[in-house]
Amino acid sequence: MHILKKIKSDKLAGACLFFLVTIILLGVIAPVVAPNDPVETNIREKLSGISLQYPFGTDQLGRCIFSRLLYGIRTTVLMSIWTMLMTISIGTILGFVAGYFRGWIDEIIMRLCDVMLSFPSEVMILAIVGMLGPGLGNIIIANIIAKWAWYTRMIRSIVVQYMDKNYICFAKVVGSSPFHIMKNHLLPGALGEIVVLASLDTGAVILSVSALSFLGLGVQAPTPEWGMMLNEAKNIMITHPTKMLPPGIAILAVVAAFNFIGDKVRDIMDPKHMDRRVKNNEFAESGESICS
Amino acid sequence: MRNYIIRRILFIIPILIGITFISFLLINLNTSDPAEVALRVNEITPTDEAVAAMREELGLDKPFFERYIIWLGNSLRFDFGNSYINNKSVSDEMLSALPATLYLAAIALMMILGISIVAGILCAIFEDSIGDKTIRGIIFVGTAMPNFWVGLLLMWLFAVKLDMFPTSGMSGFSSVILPAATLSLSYISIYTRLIRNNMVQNKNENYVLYTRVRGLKNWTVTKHIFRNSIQSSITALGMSIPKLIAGTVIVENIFAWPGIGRLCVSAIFNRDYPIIQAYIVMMALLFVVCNLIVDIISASLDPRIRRTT
Repeated sequence: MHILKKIKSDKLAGACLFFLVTIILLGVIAPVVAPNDPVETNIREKLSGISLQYPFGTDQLGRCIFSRLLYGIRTTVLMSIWTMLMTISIGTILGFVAGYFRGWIDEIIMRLCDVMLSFPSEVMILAIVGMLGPGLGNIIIANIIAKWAWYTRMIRSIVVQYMDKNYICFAKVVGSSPFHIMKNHLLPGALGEIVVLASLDTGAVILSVSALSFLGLGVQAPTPEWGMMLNEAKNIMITHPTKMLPPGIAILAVVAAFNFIGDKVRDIMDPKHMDRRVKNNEFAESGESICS
Repeated sequence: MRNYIIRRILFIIPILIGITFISFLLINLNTSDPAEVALRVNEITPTDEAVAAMREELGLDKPFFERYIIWLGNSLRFDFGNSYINNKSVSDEMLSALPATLYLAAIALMMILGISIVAGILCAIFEDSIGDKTIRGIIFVGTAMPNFWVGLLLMWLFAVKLDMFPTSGMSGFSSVILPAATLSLSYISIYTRLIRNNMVQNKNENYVLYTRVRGLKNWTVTKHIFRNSIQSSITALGMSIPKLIAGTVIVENIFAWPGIGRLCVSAIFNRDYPIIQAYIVMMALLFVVCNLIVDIISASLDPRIRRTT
């Protein structure tokens, strides 16, 4: 995993990575670190300022904003990452099948992708949520349906590049099963590029999930979620404008960190920036392909 | 060229059929029965007879494909049926909300063009200066800012604190400024970056060297670079217009803007399926048509594209 090493060598990208890992860990251990119950209301303490018991104050129902932020990592960040994993998995399976077998199955999958891609994902997500009704599960399904086609197409194009390689041809000739070839010969090579695709887009998924929750179409009360916390803060904007800051900054910081790492990974993977990779490719392709 | 356009238009038909079929299918996959929903929102107890009567009224008793064909035929005539909630014609509701959305999107588009061209050119001319770095920093933050948060912050600062613009609703020109600014922010970031990077790349081309050798004024040189850098932005902009119109959903909800995005979200809450279907079909049409126009323009500019597709 030389990508990880390169990210670590870049100070700012390393800091982003460290920040994201910390956030994810905090989300996982939220019950241990959260000072208060995120859904426990306490009307007497409502809208209080910063204190030792409530590090970021309380919201309009007297719930601890800091604890809600910590638990919100689970719904906002972890759910987005999970959505991304699901989308990538579907994209990988379909992309591998289309790229490996080609022929009619490739044609069917690609034409289906064409239809899906001819539609902006924002509208697609809204449409699916509209059909299925509001809820976190439906948002995740909507995000997966709206995005799988793009990944399928990208991963297929990656697979097609590998199909001409001599070692794949050799594996076919000796009669390895398609599944064996995909698992042992195609996946290890393509995995790096698939990870890049995933890292590029996680920020966008977080924005989409929190935006829908902000509109009230996603997570239902009282589950803490950053977008919904902003929606609640909106109602008390005139009297307590500072309540808009914690969830907003949280989304901003996490999305910015994901985007920054995504940009860096793309720079690293870009052939112009990767002398070693170019050399490797030349080396691998120096012998003429025996396929096609 | 004519062949290309014909082929491209024919290619739209399967796409539109696919989209309408998926949107129709999704509604039918839904667990809640539309007839029951239609009864419930009108506060009629859904007894078995009432549901059966409603099913007949809505045509739900017919087989799936027959219903799809009927619905498709009606939507071709821009007839999407009546809203479950107030029984008004869906196409009337859509058409009365559409101008507000288009107005908002048009103002946002002007903001995008004006600001990103100026900022992009300035950044490219003063490459790596403090100003360039500051603008690039703002751009980076701009792409990561959730636009609903930006909307709230703008609303608080300019409407609540400074009282310069109304907080919500559609009333005169001043009310469109904040929603349009919110809508355009992320696009301004994208286009400023695109124009800047293209111009910076073009700066090192031979023709620029030649214009400099000829001793042309700096401003003239910049004009040449700009004209050569704008191509990719125009293509991207064509694709952004439908996205801009689709992206009004969040902004319209924050600023209570009476457009189709707000209509659609309230329809989702009310489970008013005809409106949701009409919204999807309209957006699909808009997107496909914009796509077509962009493709035809870029094909007329670049003969290579005509052959490949």
